[in-house]
Amino acid sequence: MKKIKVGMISFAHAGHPDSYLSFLINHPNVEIIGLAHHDKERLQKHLDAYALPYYANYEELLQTDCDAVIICSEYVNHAKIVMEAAEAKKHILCEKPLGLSIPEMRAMIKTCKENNVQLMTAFPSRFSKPIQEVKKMIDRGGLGEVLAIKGTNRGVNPGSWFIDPLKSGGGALMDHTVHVMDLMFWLTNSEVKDVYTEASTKFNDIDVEDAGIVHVTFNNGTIGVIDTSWSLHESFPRSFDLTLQITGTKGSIFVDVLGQSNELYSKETKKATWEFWGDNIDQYLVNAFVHAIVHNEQVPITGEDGFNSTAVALATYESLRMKEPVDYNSFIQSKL
Amino acid sequence: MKVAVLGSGFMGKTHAEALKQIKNVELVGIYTTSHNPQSVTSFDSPIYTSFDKLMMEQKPDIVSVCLPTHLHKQYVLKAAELGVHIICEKPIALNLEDAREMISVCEEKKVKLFIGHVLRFFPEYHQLKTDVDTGKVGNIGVMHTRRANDHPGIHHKWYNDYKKSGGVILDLMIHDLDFMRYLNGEVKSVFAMNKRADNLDYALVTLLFENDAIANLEGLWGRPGSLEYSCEVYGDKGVLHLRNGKDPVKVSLHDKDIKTINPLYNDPYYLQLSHFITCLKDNEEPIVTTSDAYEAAKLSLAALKSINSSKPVLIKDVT
Repeated sequence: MKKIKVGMISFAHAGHPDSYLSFLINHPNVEIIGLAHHDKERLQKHLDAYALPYYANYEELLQTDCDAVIICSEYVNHAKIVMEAAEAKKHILCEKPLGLSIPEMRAMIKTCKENNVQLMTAFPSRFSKPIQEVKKMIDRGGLGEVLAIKGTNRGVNPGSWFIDPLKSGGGALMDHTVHVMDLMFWLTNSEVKDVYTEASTKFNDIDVEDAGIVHVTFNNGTIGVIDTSWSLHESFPRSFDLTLQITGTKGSIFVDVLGQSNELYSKETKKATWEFWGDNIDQYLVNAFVHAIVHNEQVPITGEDGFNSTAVALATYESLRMKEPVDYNSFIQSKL
Repeated sequence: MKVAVLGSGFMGKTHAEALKQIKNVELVGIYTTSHNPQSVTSFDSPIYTSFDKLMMEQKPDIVSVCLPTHLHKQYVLKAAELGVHIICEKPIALNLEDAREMISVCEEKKVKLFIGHVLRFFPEYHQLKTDVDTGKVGNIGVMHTRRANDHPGIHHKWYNDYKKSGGVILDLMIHDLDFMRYLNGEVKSVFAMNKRADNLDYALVTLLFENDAIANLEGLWGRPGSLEYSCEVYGDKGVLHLRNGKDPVKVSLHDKDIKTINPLYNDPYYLQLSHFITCLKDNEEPIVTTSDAYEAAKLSLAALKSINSSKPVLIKDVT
């Protein structure tokens, strides 16, 4: 079986790149050619554990003969790094949100196409087995017509550069609209018609919004709402959630992606913790990317997919400014 | 205290049952518009198919109006004219003009009007309110509610006429709309969405409060199975989750006909009606005032207005 060479660019994201690396390192079709991050200390445990080459500058990593890169930088740097990687003829798996503006995301997609490389957006939730089953059920008509989806993707305040809008592009709306939005696009198989948003800063002393409710309507008539808030804190038994309540003409489904968990009551932490034991979705995300590159097939979640849900996140801010629903397509057109 | 119940549907029976448990209350009669008055014979109270005859013969001190929503105003006004105090099921009315007239006529005639926003008397909601009021979650940022039931129009045709029932928002979600306002104060604006299908009415309503907190409410008529409800409060100091199905007794029987166990001594309807009767006796302000009921109706109507216009609606613009 063919092996591909993969490099990892930026470990700015806390957790995701480490998780992806842990699955790539054991993947039979992958050879990791190196890790790039400005702060070597952040990578030290990986460099020690796996004896991997270190790159202080990602540009050097791009000069190697690797086939693909995984990018987990601050959101503001996605566009620049993706385009440079594309020009260096590397296939790309990029963290969400794809970019921070409509034009830069268009440019990212265009550059990848021109250089004949694939661009995949990291939406691991699509690979959740419960979500996969829900998708199958909807597709075979088990719910009838899907009328509405209420989703939540709540979390603790991520702090760090996530709350610096110059690096993250915004707050909870920018950070948490896209996962559920991508699932909604995928499950409804429809385009968004308009977007309405309420938001405020209620939980933390920060400069960006940490409470956000996003309403969407789809061209096929389905309605949706997402709670994107950073409304959880250290007392909560888990640090984030992802749930969907789906209402159809034949019945309804509730899915809690992290619902497969045991309850731990600890003297040490003085709180309850929900210990997740379901399948690790990052593994299936990484496998799907590697499979597509090895077999020269279309990646399952494209740059366009990343564009679509990020465009909704951007439209939420427009809706806040306008204090009314924003037409999704007109919004995109107005930015091009 | 002599009380008559107007209406013999589900709510009428629930009120009659609860009233019978209250000390010093006499259930003096039940008025029914039903073709099957036999359905309420088990209460040992006279059954009337004429409202006037009931009022003349029994001279109740209080009537409890458990008739379909579109009849609330008519019977509240009739009772007020007779100088009889009134307990009326929610929603107070289908529009604010009717609600204002009902409130002002009752004031004029010096009769009390109590509106049955019973959720405030459910022990789990009461506990949640107590925790919020004592600062357990700090300042509220985001709240969620869900209330899903089977479509009442399957068994009672009048619910299918949304002009008479108001649909899922005015009839069912109004419980949570009232409760959200009870927890977190006045609302600045409302944005709402609605989907309807055969035997199904679904709504998603977002409230933006004066203090910039946000609530998203989900209401469904058309859930297969029994009532499902939940309430989540996210504050800067804590999180509160309330959901039904937390019964301490879990029974699993092959015989489906055996009724489930009620794990509470105090039924919320009993608590609510006793409270109203105590308020009447002691001339005290109730936990839920006519003004609260009016504002809950206003939030519901703002949501319906938002659905029609596809735009957010400012509460101050709803009249």
